[in-house]
Amino acid sequence: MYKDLLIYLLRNYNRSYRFIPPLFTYLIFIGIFYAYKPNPVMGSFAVTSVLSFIVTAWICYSFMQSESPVQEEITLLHLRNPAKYYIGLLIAIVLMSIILIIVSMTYPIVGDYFDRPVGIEDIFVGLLSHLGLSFLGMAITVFFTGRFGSKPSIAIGGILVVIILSFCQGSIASYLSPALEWITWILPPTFYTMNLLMNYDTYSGDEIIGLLVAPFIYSLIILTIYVQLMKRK
Amino acid sequence: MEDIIRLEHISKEYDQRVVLQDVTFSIGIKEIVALIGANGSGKSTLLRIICGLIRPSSGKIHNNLAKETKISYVPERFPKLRLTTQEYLLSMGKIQGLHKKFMNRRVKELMDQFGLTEVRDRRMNFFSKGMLQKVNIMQAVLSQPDLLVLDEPLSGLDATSQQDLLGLLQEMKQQDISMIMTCHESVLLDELANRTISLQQGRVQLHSIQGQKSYVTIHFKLPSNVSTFDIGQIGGVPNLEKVDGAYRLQVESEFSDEALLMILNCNGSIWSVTPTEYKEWIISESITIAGEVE
Repeated sequence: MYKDLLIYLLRNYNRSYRFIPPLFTYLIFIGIFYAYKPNPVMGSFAVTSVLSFIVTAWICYSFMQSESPVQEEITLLHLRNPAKYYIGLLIAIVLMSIILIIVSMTYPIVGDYFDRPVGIEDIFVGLLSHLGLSFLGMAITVFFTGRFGSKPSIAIGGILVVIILSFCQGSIASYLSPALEWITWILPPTFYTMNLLMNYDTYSGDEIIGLLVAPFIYSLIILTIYVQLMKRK
Repeated sequence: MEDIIRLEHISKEYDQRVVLQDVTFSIGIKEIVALIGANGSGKSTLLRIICGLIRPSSGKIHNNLAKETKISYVPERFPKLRLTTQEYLLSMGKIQGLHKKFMNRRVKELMDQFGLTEVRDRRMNFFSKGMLQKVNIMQAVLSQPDLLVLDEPLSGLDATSQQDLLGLLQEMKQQDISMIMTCHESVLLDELANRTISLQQGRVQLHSIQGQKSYVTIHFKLPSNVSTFDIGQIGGVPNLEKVDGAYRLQVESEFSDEALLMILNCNGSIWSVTPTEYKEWIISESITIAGEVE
């Protein structure tokens, strides 16, 4: 159903070469990070998940900029379904980030850069945390893209501020009184996923599931609002 | 003529700046409407509202076809994409859901018709403005639209490219495609449009139908001892009336110079000369064929 739209969007994006800076940043970071071994499995996944969060936000921003506003209007008219267009755009960005996730997870496993053999649970948790944080990166970016009404300077500034605040979520929460702690819930739950992977053994099964699912729920809410608002624009 | 689309009291505001104000008109089936007006008069905004790309602040748009009206859009500035013409047109066709066999045949047909077969595998970011404009129109007519919306289709093109595109638009006219276009070029108005709508500061100022006579209204005053009899005898004067001590003369445009000269020769003073809206002229109840008013 989305195949033709996705092929067009990805081809258009790839021909713009805007993917090169985030892709190379990602690959160089992975290369440097695993230059020494052995590395702890979950701790390493925590770092590369955070990297996926940042790089997906970057890819999302450049993807949104890759189609000219005029061509976007032409595509929307041909498609006759604005929701399909914006959902297609989001799927295309997820597909790009999945490629990065596969690289970041297979490279250390194939290269034997971990301190112990990687099990099914590690792969499952690692995959969900990478994907969840990638969704979060995409969700916060769509709200700051130029198409959504912001100037590029405000958009990039806004994305960076939210990324930084989301990493400091734990510290911010500790400074706030319990009555005001809910304020941090507005921020993307990046910190909690990162914390889960860094201290994986200290969490119970239910907590692990909850923390792995939380980024998807948060992203789903934000992305649904985005598609609905863009439809009405 | 049956309408394909009807706009009723359309207004649009951006940040409290009024771009369109109470615009009402319709486009008939097989009709070609030219939208004229100065830069910033709201023409492009109106086209984008017709396409459904932006919502009006108030007013309604009625699609009068039994099925969903298929609208194709030719924007003024087509982007320099890094795709080849072939890739781009096939992508746009697939996105529309066109049948593969039909689409391949149609793309080849359009490439031949627009003279782009030789460059079908060249990326469009190396194209001239004329070539881009051809691709722009090709994407819009991949499947036959009910209404083709063109924003300055000849803008910035050299004379040869303008003639080529004019020929192509005339071919489309033969295929009974309804069109609305903004334009500055008189060639489009003369050879293509059935009707012209003039926009000024977001308002419709004038409807005129090609092939019909155009009129101007002259407001003037004469000394009390001068008769209007001679003025009434000028050709192309169907209406002369006295309004609040002055006169209002409606005259065919081609006779307006003669009328103005005669008024001035009679020691009269001209207050205003304005184009007269065709529809208003037709429905006017005060038509009195030229003669002595007083």
